Amino acid sequence: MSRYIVRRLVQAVPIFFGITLLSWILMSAAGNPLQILTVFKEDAKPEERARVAALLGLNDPWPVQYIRWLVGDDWLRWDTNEDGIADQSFLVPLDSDGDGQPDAPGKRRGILRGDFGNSFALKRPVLDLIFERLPATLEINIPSLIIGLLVGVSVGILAAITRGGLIDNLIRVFAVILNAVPTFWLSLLLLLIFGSMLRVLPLGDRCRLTLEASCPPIWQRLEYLVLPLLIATIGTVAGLSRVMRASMLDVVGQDYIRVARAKGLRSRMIWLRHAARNALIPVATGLGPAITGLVGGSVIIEQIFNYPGVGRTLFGAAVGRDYPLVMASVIIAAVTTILGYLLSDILYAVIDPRIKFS
Amino acid sequence: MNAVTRVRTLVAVATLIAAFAIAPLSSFVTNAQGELADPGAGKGAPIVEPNFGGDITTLNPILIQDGSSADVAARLFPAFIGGDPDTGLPTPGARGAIVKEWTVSEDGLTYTFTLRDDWKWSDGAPITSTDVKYAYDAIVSGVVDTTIKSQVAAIESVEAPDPQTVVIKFKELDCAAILVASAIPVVPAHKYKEVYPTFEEMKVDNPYNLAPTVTAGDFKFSNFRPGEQVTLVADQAYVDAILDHVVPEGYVYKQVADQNVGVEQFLAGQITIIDSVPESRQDEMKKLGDEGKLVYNELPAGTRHIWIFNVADPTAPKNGLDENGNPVDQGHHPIFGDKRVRQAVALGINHDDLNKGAFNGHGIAIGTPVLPGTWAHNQNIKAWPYDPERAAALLDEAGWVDDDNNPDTPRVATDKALYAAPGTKLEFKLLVFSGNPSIDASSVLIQNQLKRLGIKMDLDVVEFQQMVGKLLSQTFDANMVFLGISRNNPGTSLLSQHGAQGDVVDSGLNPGSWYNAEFEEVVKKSQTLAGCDQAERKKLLDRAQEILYDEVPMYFVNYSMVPFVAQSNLKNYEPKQFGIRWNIDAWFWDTAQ
Repeated sequence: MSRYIVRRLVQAVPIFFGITLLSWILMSAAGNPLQILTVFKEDAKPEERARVAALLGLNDPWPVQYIRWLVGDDWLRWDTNEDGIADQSFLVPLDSDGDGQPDAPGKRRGILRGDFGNSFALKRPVLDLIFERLPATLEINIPSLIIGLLVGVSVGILAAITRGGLIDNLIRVFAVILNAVPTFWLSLLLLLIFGSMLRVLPLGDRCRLTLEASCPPIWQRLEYLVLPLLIATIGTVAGLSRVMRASMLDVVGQDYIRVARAKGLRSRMIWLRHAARNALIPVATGLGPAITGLVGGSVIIEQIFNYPGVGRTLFGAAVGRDYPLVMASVIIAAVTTILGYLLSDILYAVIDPRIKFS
Repeated sequence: MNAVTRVRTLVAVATLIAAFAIAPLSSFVTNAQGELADPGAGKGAPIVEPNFGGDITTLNPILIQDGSSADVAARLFPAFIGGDPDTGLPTPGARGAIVKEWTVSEDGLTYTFTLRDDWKWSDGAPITSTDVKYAYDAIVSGVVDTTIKSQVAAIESVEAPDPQTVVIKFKELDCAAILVASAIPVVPAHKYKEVYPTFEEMKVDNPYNLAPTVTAGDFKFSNFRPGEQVTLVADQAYVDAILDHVVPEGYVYKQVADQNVGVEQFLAGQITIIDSVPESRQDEMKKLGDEGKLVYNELPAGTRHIWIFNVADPTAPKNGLDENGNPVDQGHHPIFGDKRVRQAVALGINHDDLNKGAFNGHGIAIGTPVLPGTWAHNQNIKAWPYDPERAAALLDEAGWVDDDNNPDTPRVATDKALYAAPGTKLEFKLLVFSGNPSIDASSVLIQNQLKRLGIKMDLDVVEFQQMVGKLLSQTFDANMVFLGISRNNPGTSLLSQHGAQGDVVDSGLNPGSWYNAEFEEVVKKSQTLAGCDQAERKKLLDRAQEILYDEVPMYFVNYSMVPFVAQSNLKNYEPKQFGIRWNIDAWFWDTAQ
């Protein structure tokens, strides 16, 4: 198993670089962020724009910008005599903003050396921005995943057990409806009904207005989580219930289940102890990729319910061509997806002892 | 007269005198009911405002480059020169500013400002001229990342000969000198020297930028919750408090991702005031205002909905000026190079239909870029009327004829056309950005209106970033977009948006490359008129607007009134045209929470 894991991790390295390179190319093709940051601002005259472009390294060709992002720029433009002014450069000009003065030496170390850079718009380290918002995202995503798994699996088993009956039909119809309904529409609808009309739940936010430096502990503001969790869980429940039902029905048609019935085992033991465990295999394979969403956040839920999570910030970064933040999100998604699928494979082997990694 | 009567008389006279003395001031500060609500220092609920933009990036006024940060910083720092909230004009001794008065040298180049001596920072240090000079030196040092440098480019030097005096010398006569000077922020030099030992170290990622401890506004910084809110608390040492103390307990600038959610939170009583209600909710808010359930006001928007014509050759874009500052020949757009065609387009647009179909009835047609209600607006210039017959006649005169009597085919150029080869069809692309309902609807409506004139307009709908790129590359035919203008200093905006200095490929605000020597002359003269007589300046700017109206380098579609709403139980709230929050230190309301 350990050799398998190591081999998969080694295979992930070229995948990782491929993902980041492709993302960088696509981002570059869509336009540069300088225009969003400075256009239509009358005080941003051409020399200002040139200065901003130089500061952000936007004048360099995209391969240089990509390399800078990967391994930093302290080796692209450096100061040999420690006077604070760059006097040597490689691949880029000493004076990129055209003001007649050499630019400052590069200070960035690149993501491979743990430096994800500063957000163009928010001007702060990208990792700081993400980690500040991660707790809010995890507050919604972890409980929704757990609840979604428990409820979705249970509802799927129930649907299979009552196959063809009223309960099964109701579950299937609701699963389809909940899968089809757009999240943003449902979110707004529930917010308007429960928050605005009935006033029984808050109208978004993470906690009640306070002048304190942080929101109260989560157990003192559970009402703020009700609607976001409900929306986040609905999709998981709807999807999982259908997968679980189909998997259960497939398993109960197997020979060993017939043998178990013939031996006189109780239905409950057959369904829950024998069939369910085998039916969980497809669910386990889907669990790995689901973990990717834990960290990335849900843009729509965070936007509608005004929850200060990672997803909302990354959405704003994509719209505003905030390259460092967007590329950080690509890294996070790539790493969590790779690890997620690896986790799926491991879970697969744990659940099904017949599977061995050779 | 006995003793009792004497006392009564004295009391009556004293009351009368007091009433005369206080009346002018109290009429300036009382609420609509003529009374001043005062629950006591810090006893009012926090004022909550929504931030529909991004997080703040810094609270160092020198480094600020975004609106969210500027909104919060306005509560923390005094201004150098204040303005009258009724007129927007710089006013000696204005509230919230440190300048008491100023004098101007005979040649108009040197301004000597006398500062008030009652302002103090929150750590007790007095606010002096050193604070102003420090800020200016940082801005012009060349090593600080600030956009204020270009705003103060007209300043030659700033000196602080004594703690209460700032002397600013300008490079040349500039009638907007006071506005230029007012761009200099006031910062605590003694604290900044400690936090940033050198100007090179004044970087935006310094932690102090997001947790300033030395301020002097009506509020002081308390905490910043990223993605959630910025919290300020009342600063009872604020020198310009109307009631001698700050009433609200605090001020919360709360991040709200969705404007509709913000409106719902406002209606639920969780937000005090919204200064930009989404257009789709305007009528609803107005109705609630009429019913007394909220306070509804409107202000002219600072932006206008405009149509930019590219008058130059789109296949060979060039900057408007060469290295020596001389105008460069831009060539001519085959269609819009002729002003008669531009005038015909203006006459062929039915604004009433546009207003109903695309702007929910909220658009106000204008004929000049300078907004009504501002001092420089030319009231004699009205919006272009809808006159399709006159438009058709102009097109015929310009050499664009309907050669086949087929309404579905565009006109074609004859040899009378100035810049198009005979046989060229009168068709072009309108560059617009996607996702704005007003732009989407108005471009389709105009497409149909111009078709009736024999003009074929195709829509080039792209994402906003792409539109910006195409527009600035100057390779477009025509573009529809929103653009702002300075309300106090329109001359600067006119030059940057319609002057040759704004014609810079890939970055200028005059991407249509229009140039008119008389226009440049009158606007520049209005900025440098000896004596800066306002009436004379207005005459010059009136002439500039006449030229723009006649030449139509940009067709000004409309502007709109921006509604802002406040809770009906907000006491002492008296918004003025140039300052909604001029007396926020006296606001007082009950929250729903």
